[in-house]
Amino acid sequence: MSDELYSVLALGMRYWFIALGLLIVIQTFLWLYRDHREKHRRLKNLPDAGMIGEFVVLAGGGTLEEGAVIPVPWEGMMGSSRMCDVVVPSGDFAPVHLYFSFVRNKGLQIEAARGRSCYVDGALQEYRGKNTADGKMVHGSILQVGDCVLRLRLFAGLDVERRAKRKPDDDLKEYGMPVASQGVPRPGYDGWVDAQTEEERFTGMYLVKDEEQDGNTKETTGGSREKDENE
Amino acid sequence: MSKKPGGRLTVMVMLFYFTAFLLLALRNAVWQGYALALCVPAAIWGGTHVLGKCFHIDTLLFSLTNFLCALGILILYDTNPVLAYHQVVYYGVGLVGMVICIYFMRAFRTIRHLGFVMIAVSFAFLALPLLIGRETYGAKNWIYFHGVSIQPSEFVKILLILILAWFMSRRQFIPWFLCAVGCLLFLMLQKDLGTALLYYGVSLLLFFASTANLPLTLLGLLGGGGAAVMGYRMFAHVKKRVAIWRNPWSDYENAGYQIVQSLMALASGSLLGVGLGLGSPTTIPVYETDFIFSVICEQFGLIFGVCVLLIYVAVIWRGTTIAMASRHSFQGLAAMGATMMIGLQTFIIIGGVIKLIPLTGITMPFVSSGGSSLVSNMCLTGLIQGVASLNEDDLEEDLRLTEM
Repeated sequence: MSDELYSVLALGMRYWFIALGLLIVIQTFLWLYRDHREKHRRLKNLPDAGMIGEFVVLAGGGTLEEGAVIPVPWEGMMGSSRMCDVVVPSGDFAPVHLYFSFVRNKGLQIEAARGRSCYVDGALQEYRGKNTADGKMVHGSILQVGDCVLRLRLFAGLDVERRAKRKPDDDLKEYGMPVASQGVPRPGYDGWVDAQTEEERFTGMYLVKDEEQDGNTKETTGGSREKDENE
Repeated sequence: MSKKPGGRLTVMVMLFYFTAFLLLALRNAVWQGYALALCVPAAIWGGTHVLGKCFHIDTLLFSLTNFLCALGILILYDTNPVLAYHQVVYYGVGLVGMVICIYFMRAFRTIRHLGFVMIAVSFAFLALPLLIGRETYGAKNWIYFHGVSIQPSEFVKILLILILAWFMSRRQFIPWFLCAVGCLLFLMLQKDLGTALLYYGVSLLLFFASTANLPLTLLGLLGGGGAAVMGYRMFAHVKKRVAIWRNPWSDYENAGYQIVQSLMALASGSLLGVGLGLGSPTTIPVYETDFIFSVICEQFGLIFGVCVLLIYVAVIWRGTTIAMASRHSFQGLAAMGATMMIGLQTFIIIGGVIKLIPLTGITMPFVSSGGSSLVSNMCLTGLIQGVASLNEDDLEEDLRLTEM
């Protein structure tokens, strides 16, 4: 092709390339917008989508409101500091109290920070050096730090098919934890948690019996978000 | 045309490159041009569909990186076909690197003891140019092995992001700090200040992303400012670059020639460009690496230049979204670090080319000529794609549980 003809062709094609460039950019941002909208729609229909789970406050030690929900969007640190992934605004928690990581089909693996301790289903968890954590929280497990008692509700990563064939306490037995149906003793807390049925364990329903000093029994029921809202 | 935006985008990208390579093939009248006009769109289509079937990859991110890589090949084919053929090979190697990184992110949820091996490898790689490297453009950051030149600091970027993300996910600040400072010291010894600026910026941004601690981040920024002043006083070539940045016309025939030619190319391109294959892009020294954005603007015009910038913005947006959707801190931070690395590198080089900031010798991600740069950027994309793939797995699991 002669240079003159090529010049004319290239000059004409400038508009074509710019138009295609603009269309590519528009399509890209339309795609981004569509995904953004889909994410919002999903969150509207499934508020728990994209979350690992949540902690429900059973006892707040005077600083946390009972029944309050603390979301667990991703794994990381838990403590009272603003930089933590799960912030628990309580004096019982150190600024960085524990680390937790999410293990699919298992739950949360808990590791206390240096010089800190906590109880997972009644078992003491202390710092034992890096990467030596053995505390595992399954759906319905209880975490106690000082006077604060929190119950974990897992949304993600539970193999329900496998679990449904199991007995209610199999998970706890697997990790060598006290069996919930027999009553989980929680040091420093005069009460116990009964896992009534397997269904309740999965749906997050629980019953806390708290024998008060005067001998009266106070019952607190916690459950799924919809049930709480209905009540 | 497909009704899905993904399908439409792929078709448009394919059409763009088919016509562009065909135009150049008509001028050169060589079979390689026609082959590229068919192969590049076919590779874009095949890559998007085949890789998408193997993993849950983010198709948008993959299409955008493909667009940028093909743009680099197109410009190089126009100006120096041999470099373009090399770039095609590097792109193939980069794809393999990307797949390895996707596998790595899927297989290793944590790096634990592997982290210490990575630190040792990073320091060894950064020490290599000091021992056996040669000085190029004032910095001793290249090694030559059997006729192949490699820039180790490009590959250390990937390891550094993984190491820093691991330490930050564990909130281990002292190892994080020591590792970042160690790498920066090696780069200062190599006088590779552009890469040092990149490493420093990414370390600081990763710290902020992880802790949201604004006072300490600002303190770090202040420290970086102090180090920049020190660098200015210590290194003669830094002084020279700052002087050129302030007034390139004062010595436009020597030190300021490169930036002046770049500005003239931007001006001559105007809004619509001079046309593909026209103009005189080769008059800009190092046009194929540092100044490739000037060549794009000269040939396609400033409007297209802005489109390219918007595509980088979309890449960063997508990477950030993927990082924030991750449930695992290590993976989220790794994706965030990789995104920031690409974003900051783009800002530094394009800022230098348009005389917004002093010029530093780094490449334009995915577009510039050079195997080390292209492969490392593809690997960074692989890290992001790996996290995107895990996010999709998590989401599928959620939906499966919801349906039950």
